Amino acid sequence: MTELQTALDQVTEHLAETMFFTTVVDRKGDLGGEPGYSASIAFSGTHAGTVRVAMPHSTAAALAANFLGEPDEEGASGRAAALVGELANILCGSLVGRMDPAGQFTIGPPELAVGTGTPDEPADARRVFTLEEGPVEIGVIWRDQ
Amino acid sequence: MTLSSVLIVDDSPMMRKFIARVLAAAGFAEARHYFARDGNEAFEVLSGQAVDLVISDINMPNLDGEGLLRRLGEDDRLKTVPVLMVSSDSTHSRAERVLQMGARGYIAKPFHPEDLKAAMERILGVRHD
Repeated sequence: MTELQTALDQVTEHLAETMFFTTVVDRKGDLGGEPGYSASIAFSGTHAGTVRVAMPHSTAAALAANFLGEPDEEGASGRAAALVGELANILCGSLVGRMDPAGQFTIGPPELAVGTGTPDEPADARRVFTLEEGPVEIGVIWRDQ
Repeated sequence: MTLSSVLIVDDSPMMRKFIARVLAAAGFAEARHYFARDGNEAFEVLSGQAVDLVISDINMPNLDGEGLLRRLGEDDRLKTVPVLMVSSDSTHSRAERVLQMGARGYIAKPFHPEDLKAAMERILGVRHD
């Protein structure tokens, strides 16, 4: 397993436990065909790349309820989509800090999209994590500058 | 010393709500909460309202967290307001820089709610059980 993949696994598990009050139950999963959302965040600096997070609506809604400590509002798709962006933002910052703690980075805003879609280019590390709330796909492109 | 009022600065409505939730769970539910979306809004709030603590993100549009620290440092009335920075940037260089700029604490996301509580207690010099 690469250093990037190990860092992705560790950062995701830590994030799930600390701020989303859940656990990774499996490091293998499948997004399935359910409608969902994706968020991509570009970073630049001592390294550059992209972190992309995708998940079905049901997973995003359940994670939003955990995060905010409030039950899901019926049809609250805006909240679920925003959750995907928030998760991607935290994950990106944590991952670049884990990979290069002495580095300097600029992290861009999340670009949200409806649909779990397909990444534009292959990721250097990718995993579909199964959380208690459902699957979450995370892919990372990591380039030396 | 107790926490009677706190200003939460973050461009993400979800993160503002999450921090307020953590504060309530940490025993600070009685504190009055003020919210701002960026450094400019935060400065406006602070110009009209004294608070015991500012909890601020760094990466924000308009005036970011470092800009807020700079403006507070230049204001004789506000330069002693304690600021705890909370950011998704977990690099050492960022933490060192904002601490040198006058932040009283720095927490990288993701953080456990207990970490935020402990940092606040360190800054305020209180113990909430």
